[in-house]
Amino acid sequence: MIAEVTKKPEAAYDIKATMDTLISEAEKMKQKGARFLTITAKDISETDAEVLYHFEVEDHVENIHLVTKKDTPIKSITGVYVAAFIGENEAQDLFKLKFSNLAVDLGGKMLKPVDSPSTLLKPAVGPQPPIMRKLGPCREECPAMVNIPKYIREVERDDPEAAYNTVIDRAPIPAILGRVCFAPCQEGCRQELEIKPIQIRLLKRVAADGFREKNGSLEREITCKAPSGKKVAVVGGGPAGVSAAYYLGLQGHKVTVYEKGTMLGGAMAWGIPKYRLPKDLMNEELMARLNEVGAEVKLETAVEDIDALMAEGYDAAFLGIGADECNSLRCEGEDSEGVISFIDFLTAVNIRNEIPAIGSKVIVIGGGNSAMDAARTAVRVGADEVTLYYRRTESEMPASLHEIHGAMEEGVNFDFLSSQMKITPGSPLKIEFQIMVPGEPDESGRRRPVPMEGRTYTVEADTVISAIGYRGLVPAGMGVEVNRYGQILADTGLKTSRDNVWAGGDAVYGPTSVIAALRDGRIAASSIDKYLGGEGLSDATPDMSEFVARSVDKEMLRNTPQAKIPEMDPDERIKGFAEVEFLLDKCKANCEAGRCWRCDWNE
Amino acid sequence: MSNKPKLTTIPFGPQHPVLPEAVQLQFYVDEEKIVDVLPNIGYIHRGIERAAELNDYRRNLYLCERICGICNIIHGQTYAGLIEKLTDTEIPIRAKYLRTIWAEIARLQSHLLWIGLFAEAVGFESLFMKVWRDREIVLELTEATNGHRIHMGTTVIGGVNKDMDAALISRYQKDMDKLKKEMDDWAHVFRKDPAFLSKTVGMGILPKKDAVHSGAVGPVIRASGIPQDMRNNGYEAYGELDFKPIVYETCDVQGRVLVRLDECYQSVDLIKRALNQMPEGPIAVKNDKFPEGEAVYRTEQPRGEVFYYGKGNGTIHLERIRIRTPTIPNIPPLLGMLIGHNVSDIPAIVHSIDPCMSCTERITDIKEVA
Repeated sequence: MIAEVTKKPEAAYDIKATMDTLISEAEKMKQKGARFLTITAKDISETDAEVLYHFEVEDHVENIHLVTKKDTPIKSITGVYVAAFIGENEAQDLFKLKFSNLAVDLGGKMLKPVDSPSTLLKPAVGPQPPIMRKLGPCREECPAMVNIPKYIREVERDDPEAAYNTVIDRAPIPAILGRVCFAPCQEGCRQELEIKPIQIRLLKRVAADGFREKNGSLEREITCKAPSGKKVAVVGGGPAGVSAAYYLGLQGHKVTVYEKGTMLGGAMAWGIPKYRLPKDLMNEELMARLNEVGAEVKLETAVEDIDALMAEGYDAAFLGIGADECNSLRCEGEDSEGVISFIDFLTAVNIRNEIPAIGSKVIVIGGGNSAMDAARTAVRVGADEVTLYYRRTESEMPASLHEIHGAMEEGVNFDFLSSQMKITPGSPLKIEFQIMVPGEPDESGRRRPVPMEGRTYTVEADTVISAIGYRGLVPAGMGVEVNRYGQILADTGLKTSRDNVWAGGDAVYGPTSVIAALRDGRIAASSIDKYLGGEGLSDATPDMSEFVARSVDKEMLRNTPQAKIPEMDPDERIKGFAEVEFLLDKCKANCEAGRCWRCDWNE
Repeated sequence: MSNKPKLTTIPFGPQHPVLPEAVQLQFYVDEEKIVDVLPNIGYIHRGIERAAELNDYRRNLYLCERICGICNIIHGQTYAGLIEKLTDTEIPIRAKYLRTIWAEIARLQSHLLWIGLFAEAVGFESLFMKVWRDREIVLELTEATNGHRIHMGTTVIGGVNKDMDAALISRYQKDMDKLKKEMDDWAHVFRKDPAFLSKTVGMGILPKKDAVHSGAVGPVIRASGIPQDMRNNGYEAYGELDFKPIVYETCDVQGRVLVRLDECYQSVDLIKRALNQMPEGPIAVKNDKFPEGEAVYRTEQPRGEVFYYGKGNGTIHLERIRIRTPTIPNIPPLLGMLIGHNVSDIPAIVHSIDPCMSCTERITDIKEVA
């Protein structure tokens, strides 16, 4: 007996029915004016089932109770109560019961299985809507458009080989970039707003050094395209030249690199101090790239005449000749003995491994990164007192903040708003400085320093290193058009005024950065390849094939601090040329990479 | 049916702008006239009855509250009522009153939702916006009660888990008065507007005799002149609130609109009366017995009578639970209502039963069938 909760708790009846009495019991219900409610079916065993027909009689529920074999058809009560057809069809579908004389028999198709032709649960077929993805702000800021978000994820999942290859896809020297890149990407990082951008440059070094440790060397085994039979000359073994040579080699061209110095690297070799970029490593990585594509390298071979070079059977040439002419100090007595340019100074230390006699008191004039390099190198070669003079204020220095702090830590003195007037020869040298004040802003947006009348002072020094910028000097024999600053004129594909000559790097844009030179090498390689009948290199597009199933809990990421750059103690640093920065350990690198908001993904 | 070759077949659903519910009605039409109609359900089975047999019976409360979003409060109360019957538990009077108040709140928001959707289905979009604006009053009350706009989650087996303090009671009183005033602003449109009446009067006739025979429930059967309302049986606190079902004799779509419209006013009155009468006292009793035996429990949902049958065997699991939601018995009458009408009347008539398919289809796991 089934009881029901009502205000008037009347008895609710269980009417036992058999197959024969079912219809007559239902008809009795109808005579009583009962309202059909529903059917409950239930398995008792493998072969038996019970069926409950629920009816409302006045204000309580009465039930007809039937126990039956599953394979015997039950007489349908739809002849008495049409409304029962849904309940009976349901029981037919769910409990494999059989009903005879069903008014509306849906034939066991009421409930839709997955493979039913009319079901909604079908996998999508045919053309699908496109996946929307962005480049990511870091990648947009990078001159070479390296797929930064992707290699950050690869570092996070501890796959340095994949990360290394991802970087090489757009910039062929990750190990060098991981040490020296200015990292414009980190300024693009959206977490820069919270003053803790991802340490993208360090992660690149993690990828490169991790790959080197795993592989034994930086050289990979790759397959280039089938040889095209064309020959290309690359003049200059700096980043632009090596980049062009590598990508041209990938496309199947035979490349020869001409370098006038004793080692590859160009401005990276002479200009970047050893404590930042070990020269062995630099050489290893550059040679690894050139060996991978089978490029020939001719060191100490200066090219003065392009026509003579092309006569050797080259189909195209790339000029990555860089810029290595120091700007003059433009003051009286700049030719005096003891006044040297930073290029001469750094070349002597970095390439020739000399220790120049610079005395104990050294003055560096200039405010760029090259001035910082010169000052910090001077500290290391034995100068007791190094002072840097700059004609504007500290905040207007073009040098990177990281470099300025490094120099300050190593004991370099700074004197701002001082412009050199006159250098008096002698031992020691006497240098007269004019005190400046900031005036009206100039075209660069910085306030132009103007002299303060009558305010001068004189200092003494053993050596003056001038570091106020440098520019390119294109040999006349190249036969390409240059602008008034001596920079080669080139179109967007970096083709020069000559038919089969391309150019890139500092020679075209003036002193810029390693990563910009790498970009130029790749662009030029792509357009040379097209000129020689190839398809060119792919453009930067978001990687659609990559699948990342990683939850981004921004609140959690927000609370993770930025990894600090591991550095040597300043007192230890100045004793020699050992590398200043250390490798981020694996655990910290994974954590740092995990901080990425993956802005390229779906926002 | 398919053996009538001269008729045109029009599939209505399972995805249709008028009815965003996964049900298909296959219409067989002779020019514009509907000759036959075949329902095609079973698109969104979720296997709730089977899941409920595998679950701890106490966890089933949360499962049942999720059978339907709109009716979640009453589904929870019905399941709790069934288990209280199976375990012989008598809940405190204050809990009964609180359940009644919240059930009526659920009915108010459901009816206002339907009235708005119906106005839109017959092409009266500004009215739809007005109605739904006023529905916000109810949703904000729900949110003020337990923090959610739709899912209230206040029911527990043996009572309720949340009491109302004086501040909340006075807010309920004030908001009910406000809602009544706002409803007066648009209720006359449903009674008098000729454009609206042309879509509803005389449409989808369900004669009084057929209504009983075909098993209709809720506003559909009450609009056909039968005072069938579970609240009449006096479960929870309805017995003490002088409840009278609202009945219309018109048997058409207009009757179903007016039943629901009047029930909105009735719910406001019931809530205010219950708030005034509600005694002080505990809100729940401890329930530490396992369900045993068989029982049925029925309550009145916005769409009609919901039927729960449960069989316990003294363990933590129920042996069988059967849930029949109000849309299922309203489908056979719907088929009869549609025959003879024009295709353009389909939206109004289909909407008039307030179909809720996710409520209807919860019987089995789709993989079992496959």
